[in-house]
Amino acid sequence: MANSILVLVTRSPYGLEEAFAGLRLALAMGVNGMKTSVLMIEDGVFNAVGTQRSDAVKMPSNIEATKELYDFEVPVYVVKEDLDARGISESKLFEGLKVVPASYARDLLKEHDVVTTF
Amino acid sequence: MAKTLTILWRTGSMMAMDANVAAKLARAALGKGYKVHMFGYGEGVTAVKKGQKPKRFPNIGEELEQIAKEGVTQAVCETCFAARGFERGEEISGAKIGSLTNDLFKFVSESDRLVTIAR
Repeated sequence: MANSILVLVTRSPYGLEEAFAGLRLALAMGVNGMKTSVLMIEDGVFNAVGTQRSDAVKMPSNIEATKELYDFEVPVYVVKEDLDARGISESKLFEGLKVVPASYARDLLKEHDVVTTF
Repeated sequence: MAKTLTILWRTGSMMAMDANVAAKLARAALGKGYKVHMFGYGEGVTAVKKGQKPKRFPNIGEELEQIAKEGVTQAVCETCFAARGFERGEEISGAKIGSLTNDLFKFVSESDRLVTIAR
């Protein structure tokens, strides 16, 4: 019986549906009261950039999809090393995200019953 | 008490064998005594389209229909299904047109293990 789920978002927004799909899955778990966390890792950290222009590609906004999670107390973590590797400063991120060291991923994996990757 | 496995697959019916691997895994887990749920998300929903006629490759629709008869519970995301122009009634027998919020949540809640098959 799983009581918690960790959703890994590993893909960048808009070119692929993956990141958005992961955020929607997290929302579906969160609205049902399941302990849910999201970790943006590797290219997934591009979803954390606050100046995204989803309207430019006529796609739904991954920022809005992320912020909807906050209403259900779903924390969204972003791996610092992956931001640094891509030249993204923390000042570029939108509000509410929690920047964590890569080593914290291990703790998150331990804290959740099941994991899925997007 | 039997353990429960949920397989979340997100690759479509053609161009990759992921859905076939998911079906094989489901059958193997059934054979080991697991209760098995499968949920198709994103492109994965195309695997439950009724009437597939691949010329040279295994028919994933038929495979999924068969394992549903053997006891694997199957659902796919309705939003994803509709987005691809499919309507209720176009799915194979044994597959439910469902949702993340109801069906996948229920599957995951019941599960000891969650396996994601995707690219």
